[in-house]
Amino acid sequence: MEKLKFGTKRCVNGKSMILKKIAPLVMLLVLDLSAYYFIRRANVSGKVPKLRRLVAVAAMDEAVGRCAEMGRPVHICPGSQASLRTYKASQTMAGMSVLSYITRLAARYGITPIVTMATAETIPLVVERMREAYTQEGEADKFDSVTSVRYIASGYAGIMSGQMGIIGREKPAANILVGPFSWETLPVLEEGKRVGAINIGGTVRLSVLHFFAVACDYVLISEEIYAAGAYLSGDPVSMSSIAGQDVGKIFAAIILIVATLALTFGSDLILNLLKM
Amino acid sequence: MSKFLRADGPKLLLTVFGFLIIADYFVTWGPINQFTKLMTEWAMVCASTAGAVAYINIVHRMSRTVIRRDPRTWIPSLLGLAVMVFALAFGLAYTFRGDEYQYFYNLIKKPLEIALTGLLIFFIASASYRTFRIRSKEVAVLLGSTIFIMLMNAPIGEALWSGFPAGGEWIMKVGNTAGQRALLVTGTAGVVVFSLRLLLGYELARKEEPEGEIA
Amino acid sequence: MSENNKTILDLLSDMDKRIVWLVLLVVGSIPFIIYLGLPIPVSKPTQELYNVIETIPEGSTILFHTFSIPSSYMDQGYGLQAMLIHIFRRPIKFAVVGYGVDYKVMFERALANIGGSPPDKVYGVDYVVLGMYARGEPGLAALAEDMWVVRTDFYGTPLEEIPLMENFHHITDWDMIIDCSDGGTQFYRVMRIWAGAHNVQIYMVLSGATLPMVTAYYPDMIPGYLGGARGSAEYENLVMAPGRATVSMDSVSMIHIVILFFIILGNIGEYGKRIIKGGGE
Repeated sequence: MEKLKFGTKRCVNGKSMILKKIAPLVMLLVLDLSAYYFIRRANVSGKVPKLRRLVAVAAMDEAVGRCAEMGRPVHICPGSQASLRTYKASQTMAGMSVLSYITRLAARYGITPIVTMATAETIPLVVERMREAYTQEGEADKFDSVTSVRYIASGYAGIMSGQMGIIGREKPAANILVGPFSWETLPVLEEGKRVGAINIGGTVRLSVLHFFAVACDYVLISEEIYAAGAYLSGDPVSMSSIAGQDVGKIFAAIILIVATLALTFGSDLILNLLKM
Repeated sequence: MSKFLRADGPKLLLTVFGFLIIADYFVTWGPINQFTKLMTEWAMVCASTAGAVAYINIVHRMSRTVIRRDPRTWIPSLLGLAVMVFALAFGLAYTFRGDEYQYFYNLIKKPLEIALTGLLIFFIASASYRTFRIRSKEVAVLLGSTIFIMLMNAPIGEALWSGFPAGGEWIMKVGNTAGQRALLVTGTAGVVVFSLRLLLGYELARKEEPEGEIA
Repeated sequence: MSENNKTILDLLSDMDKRIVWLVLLVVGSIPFIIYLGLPIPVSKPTQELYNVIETIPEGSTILFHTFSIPSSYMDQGYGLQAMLIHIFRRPIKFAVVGYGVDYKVMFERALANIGGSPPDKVYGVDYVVLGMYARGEPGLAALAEDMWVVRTDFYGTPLEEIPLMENFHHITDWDMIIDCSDGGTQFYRVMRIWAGAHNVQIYMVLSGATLPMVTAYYPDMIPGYLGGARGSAEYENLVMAPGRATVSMDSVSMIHIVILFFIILGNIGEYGKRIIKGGGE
């Protein structure tokens, strides 16, 4: 029996199997089925969707090239909030793809990649990815995880001061921050500007996206980091997922437009369907 | 150990358990709801264990740095190790419930964190000064909306002109909401599809990484 | 003038950051010495939150999901203090829960700042600080299914011995939920795992950084909220207990004006140089 208490809505708790949320289920099915279709198509017939090369991605090559010319290191952070346990895992993996790519370039040009981390649980994955990157370039013996991968601290304040200190002392020519971040990114990016580094960054987190927009020379906005990660990894599964996401987004856009038009002309049918 | 136990078995468990937990969100049915409740409790245990493993990992890494005497990082690593050992000993001796923890928190953690957070406004000010130069129509619109939002939040805005709060509110309600919702939809689509890849086992360790395109 | 000498316009457009910081520091500190007392109009979301607490039936119980980071205290702590003053004036109860260990320190600081709980409010009967849960989404999900997953209050007393907790298990058992999440991560977690999954409305005490994100959910899923330090100041004035948030609003006003002033200066310098360069050619 539905009981409304002051300020809260109670959902119906029946004893039989009841579908609670139909609209979100439809949306989920559209997204998942389209992604699954594209992934299967890539695995079976090898047809992988073509992804556009984003400006920020092209700038990464330029940035690492600049590091090689100036003889300065490159600073990379795949997320001060990097985590494999939460919804940030998707952003973390995008950041890891960028990390792998930049490390391969760094190994090829003989420059030092400095990776700063704030979450201990992702360090083994970072070390493994970097080692793989060096091995692919035939420079496995040149990889030094102790110098390259630096755990700073797990709090916002700690990672901020640590990264600012490293950037201030080591003066990288490129500062690449792609992944889940928090408010501490702005001072870090400002410090990068101060030492003359190119700032390239991107995150999905809405509360800090504006910092990236203001302080980065090249920015990846929200889901562009997934596309960048897929493009740089070249992995057919990741690239196919981007196509699946696009189908889901188009579907959502169509629903929004239809619902808005319907509401404008006095019909709340679509709105009620979406509330089911 | 057979291939099923090593690879396919865990993948199957992951897929089945994952989809059952997702089903709980959509279905009101006793067995699924009970199963999800049990799994979320175990997930809490796993999350706490991950914290402990991370701690051990960090101690290991910092110890290696100290032993190798890396010139740039061995002193900070030694200090870090000392602080970690102190914090562990403190926690074991006094626990977090006592007044000692509160004293430690008020004396050390709170002032340091507040001081570093307070730096943010200075960086925001200098970044704003450097960035908000009207070089194009888009930046002009951005700067205009920034002015309205800033003066909407500050009481002086209303004192200067009643249009500032009204305009700022309109920008927040219309422009900002539209942008936030659009970014939410697109960002979440990525999370959902990544979760699907995870549940279907595509994100588990792959033997050969395909080579990425490099200029 | 020689090329090596900087003109006024060069100085305006490429000012040393430290000058900006120094002016900001000085101007931002003045209101703490000379109280300006600019009026703080109350916004609709704050008024709605106030109205709910003012009219909630006697005996109702509120769940506070509070923050843990000391730097959030400026934005959220003073709002929490003002709400505690309001709640203690009414015959209603509340429970506090959070992740990590620091939320208890934050809550006790808020309580101490308002002079402690009134003599007629008894811990365990009228309010309780629950034990912490493991940070993250599994913890929030488990908490929503059954609040008793924390087993004890923060001080180690089993929940069976706490009268207030007798009827409160599922997230929907509470009469009102107020979330004081620190940061965007926790905000989205609460919206996804509590509001979205269990169809409950959540009132919020937000930090300034999270404020733009709430517009996507207001007023359906978030019927009322305090927006950062400004919201805290508004609430202080509503409960007629002006405090640090109210005083700091003048500083906020001055800092906003200084930032806008420097932006204008920078644009004057840049445009002035362009005009002169264009005229020279």
